[in-house]
Amino acid sequence: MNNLLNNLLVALFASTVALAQQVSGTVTEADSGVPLPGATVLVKGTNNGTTTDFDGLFQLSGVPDNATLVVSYIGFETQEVAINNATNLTITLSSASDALDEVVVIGYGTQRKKEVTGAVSILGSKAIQKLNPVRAEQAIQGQVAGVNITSQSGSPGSGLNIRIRGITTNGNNAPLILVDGNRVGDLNAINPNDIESINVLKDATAGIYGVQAANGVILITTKSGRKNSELDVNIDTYTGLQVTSKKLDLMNSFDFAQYVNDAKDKTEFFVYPQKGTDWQDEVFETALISEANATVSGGGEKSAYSFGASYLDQDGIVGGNSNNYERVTARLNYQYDILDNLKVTANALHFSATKQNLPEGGIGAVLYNAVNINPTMPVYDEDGNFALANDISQIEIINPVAQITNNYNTDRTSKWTGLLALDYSFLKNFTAKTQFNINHATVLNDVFKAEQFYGNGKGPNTVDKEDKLSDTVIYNEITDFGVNYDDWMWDNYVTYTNSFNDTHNLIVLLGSSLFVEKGLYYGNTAETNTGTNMPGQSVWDEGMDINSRYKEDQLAKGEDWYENRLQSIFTRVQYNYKGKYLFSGALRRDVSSRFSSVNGNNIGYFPTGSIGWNVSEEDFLQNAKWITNLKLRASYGIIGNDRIPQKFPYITLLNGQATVDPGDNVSKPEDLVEGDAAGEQGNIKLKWEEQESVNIGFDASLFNNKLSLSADAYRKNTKNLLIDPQASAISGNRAPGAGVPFVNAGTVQNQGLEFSLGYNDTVGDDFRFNINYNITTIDNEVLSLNRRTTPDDGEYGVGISQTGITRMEPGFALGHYYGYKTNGIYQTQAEIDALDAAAVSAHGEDETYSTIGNIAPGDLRFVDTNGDGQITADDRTNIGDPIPDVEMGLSIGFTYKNIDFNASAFASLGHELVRDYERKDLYANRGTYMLRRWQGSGTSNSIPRATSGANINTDLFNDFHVEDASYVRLQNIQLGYNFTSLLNENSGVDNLRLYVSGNNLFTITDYNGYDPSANTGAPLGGGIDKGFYPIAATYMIGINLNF
Amino acid sequence: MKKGLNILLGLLLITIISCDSFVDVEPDGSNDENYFNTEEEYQKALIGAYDLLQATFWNTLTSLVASDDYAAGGDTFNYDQPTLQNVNQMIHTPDDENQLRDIWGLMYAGLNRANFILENKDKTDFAGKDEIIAEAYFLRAYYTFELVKFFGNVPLKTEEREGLLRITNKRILTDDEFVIERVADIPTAYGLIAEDLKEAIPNLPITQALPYEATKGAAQALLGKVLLYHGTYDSSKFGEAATALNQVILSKQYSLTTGADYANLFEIDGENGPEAVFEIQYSSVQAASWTNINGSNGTYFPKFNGPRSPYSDDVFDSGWGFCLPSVALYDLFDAADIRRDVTFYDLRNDQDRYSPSRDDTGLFNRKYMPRLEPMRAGSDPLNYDNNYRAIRYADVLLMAAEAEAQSGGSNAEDYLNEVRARAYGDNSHDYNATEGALLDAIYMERRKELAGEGHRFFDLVRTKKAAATIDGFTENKNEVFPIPLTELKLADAVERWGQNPKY
Repeated sequence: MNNLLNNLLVALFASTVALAQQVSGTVTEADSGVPLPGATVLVKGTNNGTTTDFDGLFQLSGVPDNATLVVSYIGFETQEVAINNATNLTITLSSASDALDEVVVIGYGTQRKKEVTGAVSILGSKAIQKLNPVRAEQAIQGQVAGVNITSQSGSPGSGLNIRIRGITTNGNNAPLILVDGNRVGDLNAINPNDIESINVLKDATAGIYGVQAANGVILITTKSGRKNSELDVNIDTYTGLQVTSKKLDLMNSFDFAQYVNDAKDKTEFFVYPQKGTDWQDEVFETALISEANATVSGGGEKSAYSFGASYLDQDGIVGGNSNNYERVTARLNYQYDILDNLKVTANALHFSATKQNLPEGGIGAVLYNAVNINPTMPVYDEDGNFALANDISQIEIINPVAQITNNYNTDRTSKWTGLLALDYSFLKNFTAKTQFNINHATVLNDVFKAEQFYGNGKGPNTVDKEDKLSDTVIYNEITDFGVNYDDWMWDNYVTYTNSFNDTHNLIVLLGSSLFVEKGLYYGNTAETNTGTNMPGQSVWDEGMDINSRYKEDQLAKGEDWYENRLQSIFTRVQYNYKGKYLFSGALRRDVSSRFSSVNGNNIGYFPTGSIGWNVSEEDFLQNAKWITNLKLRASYGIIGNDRIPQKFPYITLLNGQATVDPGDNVSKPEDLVEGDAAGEQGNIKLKWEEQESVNIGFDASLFNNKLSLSADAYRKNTKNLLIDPQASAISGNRAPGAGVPFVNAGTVQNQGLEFSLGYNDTVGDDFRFNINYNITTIDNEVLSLNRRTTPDDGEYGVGISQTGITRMEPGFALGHYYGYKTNGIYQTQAEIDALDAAAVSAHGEDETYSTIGNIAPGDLRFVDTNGDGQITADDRTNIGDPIPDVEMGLSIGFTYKNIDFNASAFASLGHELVRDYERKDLYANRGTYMLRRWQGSGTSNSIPRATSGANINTDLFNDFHVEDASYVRLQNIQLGYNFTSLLNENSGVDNLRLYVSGNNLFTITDYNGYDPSANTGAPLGGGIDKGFYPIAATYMIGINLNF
Repeated sequence: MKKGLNILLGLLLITIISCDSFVDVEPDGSNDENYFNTEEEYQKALIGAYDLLQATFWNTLTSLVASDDYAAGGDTFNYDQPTLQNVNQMIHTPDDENQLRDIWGLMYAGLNRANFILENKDKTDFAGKDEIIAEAYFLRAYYTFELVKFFGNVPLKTEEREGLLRITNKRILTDDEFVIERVADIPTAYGLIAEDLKEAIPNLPITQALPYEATKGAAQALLGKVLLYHGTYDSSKFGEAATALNQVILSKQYSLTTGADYANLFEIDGENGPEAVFEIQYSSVQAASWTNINGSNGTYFPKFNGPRSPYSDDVFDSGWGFCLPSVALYDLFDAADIRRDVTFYDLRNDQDRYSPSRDDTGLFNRKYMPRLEPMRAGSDPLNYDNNYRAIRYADVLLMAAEAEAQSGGSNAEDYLNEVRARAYGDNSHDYNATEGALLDAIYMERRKELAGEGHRFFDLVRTKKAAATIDGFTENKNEVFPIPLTELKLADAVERWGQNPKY
């Protein structure tokens, strides 16, 4: 720590006191003359140095007249320039023998990009900065082919799903994420500004990570300081306004009244207010977002440091401050050369966040209520109190504005991460590395339900009556829930690197890894039915300890834990012949605590191999100037997966529920008698899920690196899928707390093509532009299933619902929707009578065409898919799936003098979502599409009639409720102006840029719901839209300052 | 420096070479192999077996709407609880899951938990174990009887023991479903249940310290009931049934409540009273959750019986508006019958106070309506306190009357009159031959006395009156329910077990 402090002081001193001579200059690229920002300029033999700014300019003070400057930049040959009294220099850097000497982080090591044989995509900090994302995942969306990001919710602080090349398993499809080699569960703790690069390993070469890598690997490198560099300070800050990216088109009070009247066969008339309430306007707000971020870096002779801190404050577009999210991150990277051949790296990361949760994403959510509540109802009654939603009988639908007001639900997350690594070089060709990571996170959730009354019989009521003072039935409730996550990982590996005659290049890796993760869940619930609010408290005080408010006998406590371990050894051999012919082979052996050691089911061997051919190195292409690089590559491998949620799945624990009321005037939960019973049954035969993955592709850079191309074809077959199946209930698995054990069953295939293209060029002296495009296709299909019934999940409808509407079935996409296909609307009774008559002649007397419910003109015409002349449950079929067929990303950017511009868009085509946010209730509001409903023969052939009772249109899941959710979204558009060149040379400012930016400003889609990019992330049922919280459209203004 | 190198390499070697024991994580608590070492463990496993009784409210709900006297009801705008709607109209099919699959799965779960104890009954000895084993037999009989009532000759593991066909004292484990077979027929199944009860009765105490536990009287009453059902196939069983039921009556442990006590019989205050032969205990002190309805220690059944919201009342909570009594049933009761106001909640003149259900009659199943409770924990309506009066003394008297009448006994009329006297407060309504056959009078009395308690459908089935009484009932088909098709498929038993006839 002392050393760091010294460095800081030295650097500070050096930057503020001018000595001797001042030298300035420009660093440009030799071929194109384009300025190189970020190049390092160092006075040889000293630690006096700087980096070039956005325009390739630098300034150095205290440079002796006879000094030599060392100018370096990744991918370019390092230049040494003698000053010879000059004060203004133009230094040109040539591409290193190949720009592809750029170093890429791969598993347990780095590799020159040129020698990479796997499907790896790289995203640098510049690309991330252009997008100005709140979360790191948002930087990947659309930038990397084959990576699909969906949002679980647009509310502040919500998670995003990352899917690399499709849905490969019924279980956890999230990739392995490593930040500086440290395994993290998700990216919420990482401030995007701290990221130096994101590398995505998409194919079998990720298999060096064995069991964890089946869904791909995301390697994130955080910014570290450079040795022998001055103190460098970056300050980035922005502030902005967020509005909802969409409001649903809902009926107004007049249309609604008319609809209800129509549904009731023109028998129900009621007085409707001319204006009514636009409930969406009542709950959506223009919300603030602002973030400030500072990074300090530098380095001395033997050490380098980088420190970053950020603060984000974001309100929700629903409920504003009631949905606030506040995030603080701090990061320190420190490297020190203890000896010439012994280096230590220490990283620490802290993250803390507080989020005010509103109910979202389904029944009981604020938006769900706003969508469904009767538009004729006012927000407030005549007395100024919240109006009660008594005119809608569904118990869960309540006044959403009242709901926001009464909501007390806070999440507090705190994470600490530490990393300590030693690198040791010995015997000339060997390096040994040991790295220890430790993570700790605490997530606390406090929910307080005060006295609240939303109308007779409403579900969220905590009091049974409005005039609660005269009622003894009053209660309020606090739930405190906490989780501690702890894990550590210890990696050790030795690398042998040698080159024989400059022809045979060999790298051999041998290593081991130990991993332990633990979770402890604990919860307290307390409630009272005495007094008005809390004992000794009149109002909810956030974060107050539940234990101090309640007596022991008022508390219900519970806790649970899990622990998983993994023990691995791995080896890899990389060989190339003159850099032309590349070979890499790896083998990893993993042992998991999740499976039984009987028969070695817990041991998995995962081999991968890849080859590459740098065609452009061959003699016959040496003279083809237009080809800078062309590489063909192929990989094959098997990667495992053990990520299932069941604890000790190989054994039957007695952790089922077994509680009985003894029957003698029980007055508190402790009086119940507790017994023991079997929980989930064990399956001793359970073993690894295995993914076999093939990838072939090429990378090319043409025309002096102006054009780059990359294409891949991939196929991934996941076998022995870990499935939580249905099983016959006669073994007692339906008992509370019991369940069916996981089994290995079935194969799912994902295959597709990826193509990316980049072009950058300069026009004239000042205009530079770049364009990047990528496209991915995904074809997902379940190939086999060795179970007797089809796994299904997902629910359509609310409360009164149909379950199992998404399935895993051979021949179809994993999680396809299963329901009735429709082809229009029955227009006349005669049409139905004819079908009934045919059914009678084919099937007998009492038969009708529709055996699943009565049909009438105006109803949806279900397709008799099996052609038996009747509509039965067997006619249900595949009616779509939430996996996109094609995804595309496009970004363009240009700079002209001091102006820079960037825009990026993302398209997802061919995925379907289920419109399931409308409550099937006569007095629930619905979309204006119902104004185009069938109202007599010939009026509509797509939208069914209004109905007041049970009917097939709404009660049976069919494709009327499944919508194509293809979309194109302008993710980001940004315009910046760089003031650096306008500033006084002595200002000390290296870079000052102002920008305006907009995120998600528009989305083109036919989808009716809030967000076509939403998905819960579940393989089965993830695309059922119960009212996803829409993503915000954000308008921002920001500053980048570097000095 | 050499030293540092050595240390580093040493560490590396240790982690590479160390054996796989690093991944051994000791599971917490008990598992099914290291259990039954102490009396407490037997006791706790027994509690586990009792727990599933709380899940029988699905059975009551389903059989109630299957009968002629109660309509399914529910939300008008949706096909609310499709299986209940179908059962109500007797158009249910093997595709109906919901409650039918719950009953199938949960009763087997109870049976399996009882078998868990019986499988280990000889592992550890201690004083008082016989009673625990007897209770396990009682519970196995209870769950099996529910399965047989609903699904007929269900699959069971059986074996010859001491010359008798018995249910095997072993759990059904995962994959056993692929080899297990259905018992031969329904009478054989009743025989299996009766043997369990006969084995239980000698070791059960006459009274229990805590009301949830089964007594000798409960087992005898259940045996009588099983034999009465068996009588449909083998009339010699009526005599045995009478013997068993008479033992309950002669034990003098039970009596009918009268007057105000009767009026309160279905209130909290009336729980576990002198009329309770066997009662399933529910409690509302613990909050429940929608994701674990069957893990609740309260009952969800009352919520089905409440008038649909918005509805406000001083006594009852609103509900889902299911189980609507028919007006015809109401009309069977005359005004002097104190049972009428206990059986029905009459809102026919207050129909604007609640949202009408599908098939609204204005009448509600008062015995099991949701009471406004001062103590009900949590906000979900899944944990009402109302105990289910599984076997009431009035039921025992009427069953005994029926068994006696069927087997030529002499007490039938007395037993019937005892029930009637309680209903009218005097003997003015004693049985009179002019009102028709005694047996028919007993059947009618069961219909009225036990209305809303879920017995009627099975009474009609076993007395072979269902086809004539229930609209849509098909003879030799609807006596039992179909095994949910999914369950047949999961056991790969569509052919092997076969579906119940005509489904």
